[in-house]
Amino acid sequence: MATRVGIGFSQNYNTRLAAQEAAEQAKKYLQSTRVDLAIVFSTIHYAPAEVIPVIYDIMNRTRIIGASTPSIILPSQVANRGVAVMAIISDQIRFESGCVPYLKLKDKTEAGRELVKSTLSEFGQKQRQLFFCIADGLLDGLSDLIDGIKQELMYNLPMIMIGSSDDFRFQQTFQYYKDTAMSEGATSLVLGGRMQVGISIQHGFKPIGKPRTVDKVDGPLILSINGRKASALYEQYFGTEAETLKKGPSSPLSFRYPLGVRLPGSQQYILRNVLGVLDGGALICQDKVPKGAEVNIMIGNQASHLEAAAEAAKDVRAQLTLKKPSFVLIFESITRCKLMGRGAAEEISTIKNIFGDGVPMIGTFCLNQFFRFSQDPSTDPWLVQNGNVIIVGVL
Amino acid sequence: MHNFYGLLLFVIFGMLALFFGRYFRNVKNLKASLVQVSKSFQELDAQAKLILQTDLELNKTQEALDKRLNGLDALHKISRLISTTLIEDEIFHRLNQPFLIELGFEKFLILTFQNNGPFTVRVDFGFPRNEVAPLGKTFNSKPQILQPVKQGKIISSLSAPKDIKDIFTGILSVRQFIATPILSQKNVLGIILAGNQSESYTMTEGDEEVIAILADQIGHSLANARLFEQVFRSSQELERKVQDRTKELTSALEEVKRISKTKSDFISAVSHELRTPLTSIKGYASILITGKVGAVPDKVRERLEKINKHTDNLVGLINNLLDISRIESGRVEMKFLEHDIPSIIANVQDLLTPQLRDKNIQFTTAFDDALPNVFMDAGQIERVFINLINNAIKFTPISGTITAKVTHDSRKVTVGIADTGIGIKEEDIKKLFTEFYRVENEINQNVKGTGLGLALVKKIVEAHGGQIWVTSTVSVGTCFYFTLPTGPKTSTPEA
Repeated sequence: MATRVGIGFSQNYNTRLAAQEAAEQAKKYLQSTRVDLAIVFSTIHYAPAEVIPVIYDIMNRTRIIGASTPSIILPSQVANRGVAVMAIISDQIRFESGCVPYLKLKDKTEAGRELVKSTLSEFGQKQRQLFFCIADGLLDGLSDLIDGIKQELMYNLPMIMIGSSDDFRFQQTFQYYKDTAMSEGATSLVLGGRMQVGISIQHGFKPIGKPRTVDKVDGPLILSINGRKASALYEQYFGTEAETLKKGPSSPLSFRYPLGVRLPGSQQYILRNVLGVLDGGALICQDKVPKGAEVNIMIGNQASHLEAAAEAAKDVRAQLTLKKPSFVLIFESITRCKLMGRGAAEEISTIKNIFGDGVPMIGTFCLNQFFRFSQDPSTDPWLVQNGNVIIVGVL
Repeated sequence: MHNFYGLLLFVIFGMLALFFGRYFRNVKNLKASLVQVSKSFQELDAQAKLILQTDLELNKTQEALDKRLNGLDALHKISRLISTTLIEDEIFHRLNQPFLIELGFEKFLILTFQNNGPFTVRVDFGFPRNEVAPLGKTFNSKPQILQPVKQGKIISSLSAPKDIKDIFTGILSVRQFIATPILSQKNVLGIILAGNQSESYTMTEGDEEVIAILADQIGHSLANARLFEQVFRSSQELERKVQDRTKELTSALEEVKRISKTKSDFISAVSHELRTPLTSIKGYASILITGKVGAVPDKVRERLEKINKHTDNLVGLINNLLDISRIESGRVEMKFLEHDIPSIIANVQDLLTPQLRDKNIQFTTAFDDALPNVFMDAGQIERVFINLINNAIKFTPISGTITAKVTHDSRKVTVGIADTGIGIKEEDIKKLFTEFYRVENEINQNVKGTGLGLALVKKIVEAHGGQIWVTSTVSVGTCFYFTLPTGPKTSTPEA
């Protein structure tokens, strides 16, 4: 047996029935009682504490990871409400999962190391190909968690971390591990064995206007740019509209016009959404921006974001030597959910067309993204990012 | 030598001057270019500013449009759901679904009330379970809060004065809200309260419109449901009354049938009992009249003849009663054979010629061409003609006219016996065919009768599947009509 994947989805208004329907539908496609891994995403309409135990039972108490999300990405639609399950069984791919609860109370670097140890300890000596982690996207200090993970992992292991999200209220998000739904925790998955993995990330934003230099920072705060208070950058371009940045991540300026930080020696930009403005004009970002970095206001539209998603999908396909993947995972930044609006369905359709019909696909919208594909630690991008679409294809 | 060095120095200084001159010129040019590049950069930056601001406006418009489309889409779904039920509770059950959130509001409360009564919470969405009942109590204990909405006014955080805004935002724990009446054609049926708490939701006038449309749809559905409920209850009540009345009528009919059967049985029994002694009386009177028992004086003969005659009358009455009773109960054997009506009329005319001649009454006939034969019991139909023509003779003055007219169509033959007699009053016509009924007039006062003749005629005609009726004008004349179906009938066996 190679790899079999089943996807189930339900929008039943009864929470337990929705979980049951989604799980049974996914399991049906496996044509087996054995399930090696279940990936679960659900929207806030369904209480995770009720959803996860039902799915765990139906999936014969196998490994479960997943998260809450504002919308679920499926091959046929982007659903604003529902429960989705991807069930996988494979003789070639090895899975192992782990979790660390109560992150808020712990030293995050240590927690990151603990997470890796708990995941890899069960994995054994088989070849590891990808480390994937879902942490609570509302937590501060995720960079430290990533530091801890990196310290424990071998540098040549590709790594993706996403932050779980809710319905844009930024109040509470959930992470799923086995039969438990937790908040302020992290859950992880390692994949390995006889498999190929293709990973690509794009964001579709382009720089606009003059580049500026960040000259004063304090952790995730940008204090001044080009000798002036940092918020002056947005004030200059948007006038009084820049006041809305004080509203936080719900401000349209935050997700539509992020800051682009240019990677040294390259034309690539990583994105930072402005999460707020302090009284002195300092900009609050999700994570740090190095002093001396060149920054631009970034702009994109539906066409550029669609193009980015297509590029990412084609890149993954090329990495898999143009073979059809066994399954595809899509992690979209929550800001793209707002950006794409009703065009989100077209994006998924574009991705689906590139991989071909019948490729099982599931995805989520997440707060914060971290990814490391390179084997050279010195070329690590600056930790946490946002605004990207990450596509993972597994063969 | 000095000149040489001097010249050399001069040349060197000249070259240096040239070099530095060019250098400074280049620097000046570069500076100018830099200024120009910088200027172009600034212009590009200014254009970037314009692009960003335009893009922001476009995106806001797009977002508003998306929001409106989503709202309309949700409205369409809601409308389909609630318009396909006529049960009020089901309407609210279908509304209590999470897709209300697609209308762009985090919290919903729908209240209904009847005839200025208290509010009832029918739909709540987005509120913690333990807050719903207290909300209902608050609105009921402070009805003045929603009084303007009950009167048909829309209140929202976009336009309401601060004090009213504060009241609603405080009670509902929201930042923005709309309160809209649910209207039917006649009055306000309820209120929709929708609100947002989160900063990420921004209410617009478009949202007010969407909620107003939703309120309209709910109003229509509610009005339809209540009307249906009313009609359903009325029809159930009517059904119940019809059933009760049908039961009563059925009982009454059974009672009437029972009484009628009792009457027929009584008449039949009594008639049979009477006929036997009457036969004896008639027999002895006849023997005495013949003189076989001995000579009979004239005065005794006269009285014996009267006894005979009255006995005959009694026997005739009893026979008529028995016939009516037998026809009613289906015990008369009717032999349906094909006969032509004109020949029957001719026979009857022959039979009644003496009575016609006595009063110099002219008897005429008028028959349609190609009259079909009719399946009938000829003896019984002859009795009908005898009865009707006899009556006509009785009530037509001297030198009057009696006409027998027969017409036909594809299904029946219609016979009319018309006279130029005294006529019958309207109020008497209705009772004419009732047993024992005799019209009060001078002729009936002088001529004895049983009042059974027309009742028997009616029974015979109806036994043939026909109908009988009469038209009359006082002092002008009367016409009796009856119909006989032309199709074949099966002879009825005696019961």
